[in-house]
Amino acid sequence: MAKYYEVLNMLIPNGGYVQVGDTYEGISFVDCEPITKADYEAGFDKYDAWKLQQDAAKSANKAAILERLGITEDEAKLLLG
Amino acid sequence: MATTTPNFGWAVPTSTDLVKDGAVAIETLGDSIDASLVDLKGGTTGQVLAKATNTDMDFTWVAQDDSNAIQNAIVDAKGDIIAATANDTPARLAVGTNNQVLTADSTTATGLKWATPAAGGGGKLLQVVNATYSTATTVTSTSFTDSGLTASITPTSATSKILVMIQQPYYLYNLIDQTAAGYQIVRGSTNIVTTYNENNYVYVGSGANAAQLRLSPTIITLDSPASTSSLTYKIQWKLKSTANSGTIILQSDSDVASIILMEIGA
Repeated sequence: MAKYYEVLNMLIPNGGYVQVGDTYEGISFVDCEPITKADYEAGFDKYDAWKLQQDAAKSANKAAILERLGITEDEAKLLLG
Repeated sequence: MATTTPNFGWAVPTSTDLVKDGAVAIETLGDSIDASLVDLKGGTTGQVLAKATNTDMDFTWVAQDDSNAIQNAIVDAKGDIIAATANDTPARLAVGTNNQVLTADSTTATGLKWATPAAGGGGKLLQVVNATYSTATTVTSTSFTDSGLTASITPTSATSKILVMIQQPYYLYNLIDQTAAGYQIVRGSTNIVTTYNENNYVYVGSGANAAQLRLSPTIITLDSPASTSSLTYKIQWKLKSTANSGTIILQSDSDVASIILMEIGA
């Protein structure tokens, strides 16, 4: 089950809001486009799939970079270490 | 053959003297007594006899309230006390008001004055106010935002200082890169502590990875409000940037934050 702040991160990735508590009613949209309560509540069901998609995209991006560089992930860690 | 009395040396006849000499002897004795007691003559009502010198029977009449005695008239009212204005110079010091204390003050005539003591005495803890807050408050704004933690205090003296102590758990994180948060403590609308200068942000994360930080730091500051009105203190937070899903959650997981205000006497 996604946490409320993870859902809001997904729905409003650039922030600009304040939330007191974890309910939709506690959200103040200070410097962002407001979302609806329905969007917020639906976000809990959508989050897991979105997170999987984000992780997959991140992994694919990483693999592409490693391939382009012609090194393995362990070799990349050695370089960064 | 005449003799003398043992204490004053007055000439008196002996028991074997002739009777015919008695009148002369009595006259001589009377004159001696008269001379010895001459200082007892005179005086006025209310005067008392005082020694004039160390010589026997050397007296003088003096006023009962002579300059070497403390006079009744020197005090006028209940609570008056006698203090010296100089060597051998007593003077009246009128009583002060309730709860005042006698204080040395070289600028006054008597070197003393009645003064109201500083409330509670210097450096003493006069009162403590405590408040807690445990509602998670998520801030993703770049403007200072109330975190919900607040407390009010009414100083008993304008010279008092207010020691502000805050313990506030928070969860700072981002999903991609780096984020930073800063806080300020305000009294009413007056900012008394800030950490949002570039070097004072709380940073988390580096590079292309998510990062998170959970802390429950204690923040302490000493304020001099110069007021006896009700004062409200609170802590506000903001993010340096909202990029990368930067987020700070105060009282995360409903952890309890607390603010303690202590009034310290000047």
